[in-house]
Amino acid sequence: MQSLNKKKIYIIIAIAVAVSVVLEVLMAHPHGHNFWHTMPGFDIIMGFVGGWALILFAKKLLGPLLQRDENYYDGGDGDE
Amino acid sequence: MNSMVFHPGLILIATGFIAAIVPKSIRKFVLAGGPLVALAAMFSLSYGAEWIVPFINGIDLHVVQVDRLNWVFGLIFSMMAAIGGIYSMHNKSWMEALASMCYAGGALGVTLCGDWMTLIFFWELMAASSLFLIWCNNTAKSRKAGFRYLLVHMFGGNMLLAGIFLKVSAGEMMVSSLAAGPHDLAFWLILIGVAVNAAIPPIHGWLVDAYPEGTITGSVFLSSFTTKVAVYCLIRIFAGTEFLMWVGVIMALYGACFAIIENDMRRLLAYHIVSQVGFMVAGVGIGTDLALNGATAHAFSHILYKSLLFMCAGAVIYATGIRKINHLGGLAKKMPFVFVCFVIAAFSISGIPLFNGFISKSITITAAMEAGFPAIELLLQLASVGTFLSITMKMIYFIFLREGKDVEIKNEIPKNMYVAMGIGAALCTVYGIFPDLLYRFLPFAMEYHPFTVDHIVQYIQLLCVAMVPFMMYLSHMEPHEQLTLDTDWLYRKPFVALVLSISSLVCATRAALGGFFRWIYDAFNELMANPMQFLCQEPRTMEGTGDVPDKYNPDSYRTAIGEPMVIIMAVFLVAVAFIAFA
Repeated sequence: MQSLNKKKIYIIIAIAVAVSVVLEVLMAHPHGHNFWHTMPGFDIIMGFVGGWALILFAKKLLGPLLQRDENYYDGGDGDE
Repeated sequence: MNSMVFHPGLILIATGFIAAIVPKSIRKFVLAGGPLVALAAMFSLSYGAEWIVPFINGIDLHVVQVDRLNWVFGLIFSMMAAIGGIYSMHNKSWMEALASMCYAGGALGVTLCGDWMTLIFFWELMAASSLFLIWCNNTAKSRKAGFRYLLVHMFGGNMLLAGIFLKVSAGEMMVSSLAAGPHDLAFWLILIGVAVNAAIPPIHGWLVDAYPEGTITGSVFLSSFTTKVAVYCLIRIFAGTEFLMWVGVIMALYGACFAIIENDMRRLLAYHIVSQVGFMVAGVGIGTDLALNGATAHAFSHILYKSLLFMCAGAVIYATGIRKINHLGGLAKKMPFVFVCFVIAAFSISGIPLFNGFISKSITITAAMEAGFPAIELLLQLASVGTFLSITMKMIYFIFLREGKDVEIKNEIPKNMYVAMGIGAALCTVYGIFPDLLYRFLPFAMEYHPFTVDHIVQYIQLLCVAMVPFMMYLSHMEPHEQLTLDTDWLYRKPFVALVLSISSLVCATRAALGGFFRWIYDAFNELMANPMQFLCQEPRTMEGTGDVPDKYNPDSYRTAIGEPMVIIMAVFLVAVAFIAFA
């Protein structure tokens, strides 16, 4: 994705999210009663924070901890 | 009711044997047609249909016992066998045809049966036949992975067998719910046996280890049956076992996190089996009618989109010979049909509205909310974000969209693969737009409408915004040329070391004991070389030489013949005198 493309995508996301928030405020009848059901736009926070949390957890913690060279086990190219 | 019943599973197994013996030119028609017959047989089964076969000792085998729950699973398994059959029509290998059909038939056998003994029979048939789908790939890696797969499934199968043995010997022949307790040994043994097949961590390592090593067509079958049959058994036997919902949430997040760093396409998809099965296991744990419907519906949808993902990944591997994401790129233009199918499958698994993941995943999440488990609800939503990031964003971008990689198309994809992918994509979309096609077959009554503004807005916000971190972090998102350790590490490294050290300990002990006994033997031999030494008899010197011999030599101890003769004569005389004069 080129930077220009990226910018376009960000704008599209922003518009989609803005429309969805308006729809949510005007039309949605949430089934639940916790604050994340009733607060408009809670899922925006959830998606952004959750996305970052998962990416950073996987890339910064799981990766360094658990990733090894391809030949870690035995190369696997021949039978023993 | 024991009227004429056509068992779809047995039809598939028969299809496999026919496909194995007929010439190659006919095999493809058998592979495409047999599952369609099975599908028709499935539709001919009505709720309440039974087929009871007498067995030894007055035991009856309930080979078929249909209710709402297993009918819908039977339907999707037959549909999947048909799609898989079409996808593998071009295959040359008779063994793979046999294995794949027996495997699908075994899955139907487990699903449709009513008693424990039939269940374990078909369960083991699945394990045995699926192994050959891995071994048919015929590489050193697949042989080793297949062997590990076999060992894990023998363990799981034996646990299940032991549990079933306890049940049957207690006189409980029929498969029934164990969730209400008692939580006795049989409960845990059966749970462990089913959990191995459901790939519940920490015993999920076999799945991500073996599925990427299967044949291209074999992996499509593998991705569809084993775990979903286990989900069916969980719903049937363990619905409402509360701790399972936490297990499910852990699975959902675990698979999503590992998928973000995974580089092998099919291994990444395998992680998403763990993740998606987590949604179903969570539904089983919640145990309300809505949640169990959610688990059933999600299993149904999952089989369709996951097999489609595996079919697309298989098509990419077939065409390019490359399975690593970091070596791929720009395939959207070179393989447009595969790209479209992959996007549909990716949208489905992410739960984007109008695709079939949305109509099933949201049921479980709503059920968690209604049953009063807010943490489960939020964590499952987080897992949806992870699914979206690693499949929709990561795979679509790195495999299909990014530029700068010149990937050569080496093999033309056979037409039947296109047809199968097309059917899969069509079904994902149709069920996504018309959810009632699925909902009307769900086992429990429910009042649920997926397309509310609330639901749709929620998913639009969640998934649109989740794109932002991915794009911001794009330069670091490409997976590395590395493998990721998982719990299979435990039996590939420490367990191997343990076995090797135990075996060297045994060898060393054997050698040491051998040496010890050898020493005793030698010492004893030396001691016993001349027993006369015990009697403190000094040996006589050898005549003429003056040497004392080392070993026993009777000559050195022999006395002159006269001495014994004198003694004998004396005794004789005494005896004669006694007789004569007494």
